[in-house]
Amino acid sequence: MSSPRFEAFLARLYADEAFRERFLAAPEAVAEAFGLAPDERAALAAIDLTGLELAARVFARKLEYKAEYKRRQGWRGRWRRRWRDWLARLRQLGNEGRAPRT
Amino acid sequence: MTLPLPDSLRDRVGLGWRAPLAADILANLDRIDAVEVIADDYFDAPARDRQALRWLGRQVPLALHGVSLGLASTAPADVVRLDHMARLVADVAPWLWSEHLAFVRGGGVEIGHLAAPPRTEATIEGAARNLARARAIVGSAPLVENISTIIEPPGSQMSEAAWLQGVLAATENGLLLDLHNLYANGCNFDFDPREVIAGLPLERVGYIHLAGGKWVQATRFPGRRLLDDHRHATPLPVFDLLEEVARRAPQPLVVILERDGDYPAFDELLAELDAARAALARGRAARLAETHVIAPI
Repeated sequence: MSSPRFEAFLARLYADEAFRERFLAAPEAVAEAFGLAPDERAALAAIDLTGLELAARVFARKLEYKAEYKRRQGWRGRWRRRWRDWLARLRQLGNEGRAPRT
Repeated sequence: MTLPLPDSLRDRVGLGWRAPLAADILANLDRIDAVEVIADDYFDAPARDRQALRWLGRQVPLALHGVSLGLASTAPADVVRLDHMARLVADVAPWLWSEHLAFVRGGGVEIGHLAAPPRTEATIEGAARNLARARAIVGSAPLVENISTIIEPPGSQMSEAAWLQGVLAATENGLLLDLHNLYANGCNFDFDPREVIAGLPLERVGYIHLAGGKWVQATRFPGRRLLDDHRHATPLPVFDLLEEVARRAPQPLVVILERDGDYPAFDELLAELDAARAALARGRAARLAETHVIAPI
């Protein structure tokens, strides 16, 4: 139980309202279509619905706040962020290249 | 006569560094023993802001606190974010750094906040792999924080206490013990936080968080949950838990109060720090009494 796929499902369930509504209408079908294993589907059938409602509300507010922050950043901020991420990727690629091979 | 303890042996109490509190923190450093800075706020910061943090760290012990690495996951942690943390740690030279035992994204979807992973052997192993990777890239191991959750993590096969003990057993990381997170989870999922504390290797606690929260009501499904929103004063039962940790833990403790909005007058925050000091003192006195039992005549 628990895999990157299961975590990906939970991330969508928490952050994507339309996906969450589809799941609440047909949990088994949505979980199966996502390719989850039987034990993962069984876990979702017993999901804490009160917790899901409240957690989704909190996550939506945080996502809104972050989207607003990004909008306010402007093109300079976005450019700096992309440049920074690109440099970080380059450095880590360099580090992996230097790592001893086993 | 009692001599004052050397700094390395005494408990310390500090505050989360936030822009609206900065001036008051600097004006009251005689009453604030440590500060904690949200690392992610400085990933994009220009060199002068990082230098300012380095300067601050020379005035008062400074911890960098990550919120977006998502280390408690079966998926590998993002090396780009780890690289940002590594650069910041190198620039600021903090006392230590910390991150949550949470997952924050999956399959390319950002959740927006800290989510509790399914409590399973697989996520313990994933967290251990990610923590080893974090240590390798950043150059030092983070303290790991227990998180609050208002949803019982789907797919969990063990209790929060067993999962936390499992992560600590699988790694050498220290623990950032958030007592309000523990208290809130205890309220929400009906367990006694004191029992969790009793089962933890408290000698691994690097520092402690205090905070407050509020009850939130569901509308579509029945029930309510205690949300750790950092916008309210620390409730009394959390100070009792701090006293309990101070009674049990052998090492000096550092306590950080987190406040993220609805800021009260700064005197109220200082009063909360004093309440934390008092709880620590009560716990230490109880510890002393227990370890110095006088033999009957």
